[in-house]
Amino acid sequence: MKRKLLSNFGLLGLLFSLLVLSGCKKDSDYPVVNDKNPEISLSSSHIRTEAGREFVIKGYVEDLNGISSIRLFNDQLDLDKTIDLLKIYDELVTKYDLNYKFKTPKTQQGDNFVIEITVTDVLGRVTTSQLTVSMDGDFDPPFFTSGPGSNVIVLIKADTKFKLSFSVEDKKELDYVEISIEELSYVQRETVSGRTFSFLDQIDLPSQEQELNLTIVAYDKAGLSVERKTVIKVSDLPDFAKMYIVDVQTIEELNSSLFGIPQLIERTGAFQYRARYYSEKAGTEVRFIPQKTDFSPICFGVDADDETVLADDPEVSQPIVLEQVGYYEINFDTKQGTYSVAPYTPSDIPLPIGEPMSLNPSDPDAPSIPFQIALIGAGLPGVGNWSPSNPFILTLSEQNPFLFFAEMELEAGTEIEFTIGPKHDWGWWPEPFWRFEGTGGQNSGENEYNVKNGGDNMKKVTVRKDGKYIFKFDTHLLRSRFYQVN
Amino acid sequence: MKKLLFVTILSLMTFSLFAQQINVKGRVIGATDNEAVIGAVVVVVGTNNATMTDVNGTYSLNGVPANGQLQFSYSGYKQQVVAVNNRTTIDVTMEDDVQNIDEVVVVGYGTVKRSDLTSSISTVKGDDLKVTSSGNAMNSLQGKAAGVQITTAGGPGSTPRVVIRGVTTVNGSDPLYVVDGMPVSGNINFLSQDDIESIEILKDASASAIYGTRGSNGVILVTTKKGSQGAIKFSLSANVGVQTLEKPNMAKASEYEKVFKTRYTNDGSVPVWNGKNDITDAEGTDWWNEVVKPIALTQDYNLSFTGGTEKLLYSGSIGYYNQDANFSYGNWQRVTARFNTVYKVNKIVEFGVDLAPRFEKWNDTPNLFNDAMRMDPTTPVMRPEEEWTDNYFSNFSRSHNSQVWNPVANLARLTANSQEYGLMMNPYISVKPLKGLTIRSQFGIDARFRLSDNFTPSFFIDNLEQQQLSYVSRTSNQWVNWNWMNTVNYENSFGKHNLNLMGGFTMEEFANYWVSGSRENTPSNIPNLQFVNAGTLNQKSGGSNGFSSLISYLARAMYNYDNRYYITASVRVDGSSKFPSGSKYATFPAVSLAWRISNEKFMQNQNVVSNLKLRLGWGRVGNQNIDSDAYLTLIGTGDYVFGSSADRNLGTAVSTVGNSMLRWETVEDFNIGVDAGFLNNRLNVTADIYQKTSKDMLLKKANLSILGYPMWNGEMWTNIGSMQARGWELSASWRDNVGDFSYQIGLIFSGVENKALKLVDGSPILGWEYYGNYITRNEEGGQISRFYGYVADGLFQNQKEINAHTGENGSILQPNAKPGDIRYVDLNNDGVIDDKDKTYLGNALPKFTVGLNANFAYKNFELIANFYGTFGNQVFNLTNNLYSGEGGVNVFAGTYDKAWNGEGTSNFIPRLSVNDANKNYQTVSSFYIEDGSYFRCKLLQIAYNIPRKPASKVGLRVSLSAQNLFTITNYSGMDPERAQMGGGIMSAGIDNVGYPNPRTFLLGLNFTF
Repeated sequence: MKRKLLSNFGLLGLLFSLLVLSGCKKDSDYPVVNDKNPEISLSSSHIRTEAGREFVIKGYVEDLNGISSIRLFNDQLDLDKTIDLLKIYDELVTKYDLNYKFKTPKTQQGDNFVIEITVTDVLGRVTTSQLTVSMDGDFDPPFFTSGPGSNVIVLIKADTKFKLSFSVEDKKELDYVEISIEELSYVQRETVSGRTFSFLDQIDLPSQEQELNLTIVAYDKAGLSVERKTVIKVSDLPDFAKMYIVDVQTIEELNSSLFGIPQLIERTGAFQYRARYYSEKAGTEVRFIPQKTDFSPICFGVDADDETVLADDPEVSQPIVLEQVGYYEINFDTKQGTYSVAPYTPSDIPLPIGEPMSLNPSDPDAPSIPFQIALIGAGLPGVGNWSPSNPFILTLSEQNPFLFFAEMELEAGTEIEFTIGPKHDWGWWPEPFWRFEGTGGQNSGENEYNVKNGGDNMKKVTVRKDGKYIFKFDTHLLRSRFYQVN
Repeated sequence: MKKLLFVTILSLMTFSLFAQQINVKGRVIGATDNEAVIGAVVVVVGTNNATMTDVNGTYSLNGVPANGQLQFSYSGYKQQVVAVNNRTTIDVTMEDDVQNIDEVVVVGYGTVKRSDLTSSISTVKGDDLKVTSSGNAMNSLQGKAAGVQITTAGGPGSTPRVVIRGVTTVNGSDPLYVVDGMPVSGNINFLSQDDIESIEILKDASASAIYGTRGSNGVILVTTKKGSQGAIKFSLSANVGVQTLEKPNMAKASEYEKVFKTRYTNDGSVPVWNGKNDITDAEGTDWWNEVVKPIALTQDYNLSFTGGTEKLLYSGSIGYYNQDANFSYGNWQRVTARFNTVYKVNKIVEFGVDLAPRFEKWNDTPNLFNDAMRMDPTTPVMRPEEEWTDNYFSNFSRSHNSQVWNPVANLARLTANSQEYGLMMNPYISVKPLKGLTIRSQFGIDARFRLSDNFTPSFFIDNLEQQQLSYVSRTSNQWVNWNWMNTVNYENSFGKHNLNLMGGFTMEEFANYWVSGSRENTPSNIPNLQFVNAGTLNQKSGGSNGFSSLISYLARAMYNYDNRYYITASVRVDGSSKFPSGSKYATFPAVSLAWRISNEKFMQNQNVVSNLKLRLGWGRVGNQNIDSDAYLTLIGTGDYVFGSSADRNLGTAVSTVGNSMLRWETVEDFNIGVDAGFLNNRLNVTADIYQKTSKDMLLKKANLSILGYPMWNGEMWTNIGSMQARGWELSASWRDNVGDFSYQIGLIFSGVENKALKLVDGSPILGWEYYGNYITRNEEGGQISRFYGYVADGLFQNQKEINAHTGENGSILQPNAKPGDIRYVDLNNDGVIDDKDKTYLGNALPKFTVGLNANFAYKNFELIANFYGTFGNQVFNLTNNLYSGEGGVNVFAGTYDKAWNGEGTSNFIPRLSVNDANKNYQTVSSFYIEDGSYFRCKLLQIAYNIPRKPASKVGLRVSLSAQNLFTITNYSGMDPERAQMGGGIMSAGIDNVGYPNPRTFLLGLNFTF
């Protein structure tokens, strides 16, 4: 009996030992293929990048015994990543393509960093390599801050001229700019230093109907370039399909908005347009342009020599001054040059902001909330993603019952899209709502006017610069604008 | 039998052994109820000198040897031998027999001796229930029957969740309740537990198949007290007590302000704070104190009587139960009466009637615990007096910094009450024309009439907290159910062959009649105008009738050979109006076998095992728990918007798509059990294992879109699913006495695993939507009611940890995270946190439950302790959200310091953030999961039986009780038991602060005369 007991204990001990030994896989469990340490071969030992930009650590790792893990470490970069291949893969990995992306914050301090790459194999053998990362990379091509659009029309005059004006900017440093009009053998090359460059030239054009192809290419020191092509149509005054009212005075302001500046007006007939506009302050000056990004070559305004008619030359035409705060209707004929300006009061019924809105009109027991309209979409700071229950509320103007606005801080690179509609605690999408119409693709930012209870999805806009932005929406005009205020 | 014994003993009285003889008298009473034991046999040991006790329990014996012994015996009590020792008065208290294996057990449509049982049936005596004061006897049953999971909640009139042997259907887990043969709705709140003689729980299909269509969730048979022959006896019991709730520790005003502002500043925003800066705690409001009463009264009174003659047996009772809520509004009162009479016309014919009228009244108990916890503590209850208006309900304050409606104002506005009159009546006639043959017909009626009133006053506190038009409604509901039950029973023995046959035919109808009306805009909020007629706008009305019926044929045969080998077979054929032609009828067979090993010869010459029986059972039961019109295609009103017009066009449309192929949901059940008694049945053990599998489970399935049905209304009940419950039960009890000390300890363990085997198109059933996700998920092959979400792996302590939380190629897994946010595990290592990383986080249903019931008595003192616990279950504790301050609501006290505020400060409570870009609190994750196991002292009672004179019929028992006295648990929420209820059996275990089980202290008096 005693013997049997002892043998039982012995068996138990053996089983326990086996369990302990087999319970966890130790280094010694892997067969030794060779006695080499892991090998690392980096694609580059130096990566140039910049603060806020993603870079990729590439390389090739090999260890025939089996790679256990790869650690990437740099304390200043807050990088301490261990890629545990034993955890990720069921099979033992002996060859591995390292391809690890890492993004530094925009606020990253320092210029050079050394990333330590440590490879450990399943036998515990270690190899370390180093990779230098510097913050002097240039990755962004230059960009135009102003300039002609893709199509401009120059009116035939006795002495036909095209005033070419553009500005270009680079985050690091510009190198040179090339301007050419193939048909005129017009070629200019401007060597540039610094981050910005502005160009202004009066180019003589033949006084006959024709199309000319203007090309502007700007290069930076890293060899990155940006190109803008414009078709200049020399012709008599055409019947423009679209006309815009503009209440800013500079090209920079004209090009600063996410959308809405300039603002589309109504074409009522051949050469005839009607602009309805809300003058937010007394003495607001407005003009009209058929091209969206420049005052030149055509800008309709009061003829400096004869205030009863309009002139089309930006050098000659003067702004129409709206003396009071309020809505104005401006009718004009571009062919005849006639125009009229008159204030008016909208007959629409303002939205019942603050009045109770039932969360379910078909259920008399449903609770109510105050009616508010808001931006419901993506990219808006501090609110939900396409969430009617947590939207960006629009504030009603104290002066104008039809005007709503919202101010927000936005970061460069943020993509924004939204619909305007009522806040709804249950996440419903009741009427009224307003969407957008405009030419261009989904990401073009061409949001030219609003449609109540209809329209298309808003064309997504991308914020170009950090800063404070304001969105304004007029339920009477069905126009909205979104622009930076500082 | 007793008389025969008596005569025999008397006939043997021929001589006396002892020279010194005295006269002895005394009284015999029962230990449990201190009632006189009538007919107990008292015999001088070693002689045939004997007598019997009279109706008062007294006896007198002459010629008793002064140094002799008296033996006291009576069926159901333990035999006692007492030394005379020259005493002339000997009073005896007889203990209950440990377990009388020959006691009669109620089974469906009949009774059977416990020793003859072949099925799994638990019995709980009414006396064991009434030690607990409760409005629902099921609360008192908790922990006293193996395999019966009872989850209770607080609040007046609350109904516990009763699950017998797991869940095999999504269509309700409630068992069938049968009171004195009358099936009743899924709740026995209407029944005073003082009226209950016993409760039998038919757990396996071999027992419950006789209830066919409604037996799949088990059957609970309630037998009420009946009269007994003898002089009339009265019993008056009174229990009065108070209920208290534990107060959660919420932040006071100053901490709330700090938390509120920090949420903004942590996100780089300016706090949108409305109210006084640097508020002190003294300036704030303790909303819990304003909303929740520290104590609530509960009262339970019952006066009963019983008696009878050879011809007439009668019993009756009148009871009153009242339970207040721990709010200023909310209450349940119940007046019950019961009169049971049996008249024996002669030896052949007997008739009787059980008559049970009742009245209930309740004010709907609100659930404002959550609001009391969440309400902004910087807000005063009322607005400044100078702002008050004539409308009292408009004078309350609007929350300064959150959207929570003022809970005190909510309470003040409440007017929602119901009154219900009910009558249950069971007249029957029984004829015994031949020996062993009984023909019985019973016609039961259960009728209820309920009137419910509701009034919501008009008020304006804020644009977001207002009721423009007052609303008043009244609903009248009538339920009239009847049941005609006819059975023939034949029972006889032929030598060693014992036979019990039963055949029956039943008809049942369930009818509901309702009408309701409402209007808006009463001229005022005053009580005199809180009637529908006072409303001036938006008059609405509705009403309908609903019927269903059942016709059944049933039969059962029980046979045993020599009380050793048993077989029982039963069959029920049910026809239900809920199913279409061709599928109306279904057959539910069952068979069970038993082998009573202890009666074998080879077990006779030992005294360790006193009872041993092996049981084996199989059966099929059904479930018809669906709408009465589920097989019909119906048309209802609807509205739709056509074109660009915003107008809604009213019309009719398909509201229900019927299924003409609909048939019964059935559950197949296997059970193996063993009953054992040891040491003269002082130790009793019962063990069972079982498996229940449902098939043809009714689920709603979408129709093909091509058929053109509306998306939701196009779903159709279909016999498509299957579920399975596998479990085990073990119960053991020990009872003994040492001198004047007697004790009894019962232990009950049971465990069950509930699985979904087949669902609609393999799609999981999701439950409890939470920010666009679901908390519970039931999928094929898995256990039901499991939490499904992301695994939270502590908090990011610094940016380096966020940067390291990437995929293999460096993709940041949580781009919106900041230090202090929750880290979610990329389970499949694919470099993305998405649905594929969700996993099962815990199970709402326990792995096993434990009941511990102990009873100690020393002389006149008694100590009763009942414990109940569940183990291996988790709770999704939504109250963890109260660390977030989301939406400006209040937070748990200490949140400001406990929330992550720098590296190493916390690895559980995330940083305070107004935007919660990482969605720490809006993600279904293990952050909310807690161990929900608990072990609770359900009852601790100390009682004293006032000594009484031997001849006195008057007895008094005084008791002090504490219910839910303490709980051993790691769960941080208010009540782990209440939390288990969650949102139904398929999405249980979600704690959204339901009414917790209160701690109750009671003084009880029991007076018999």
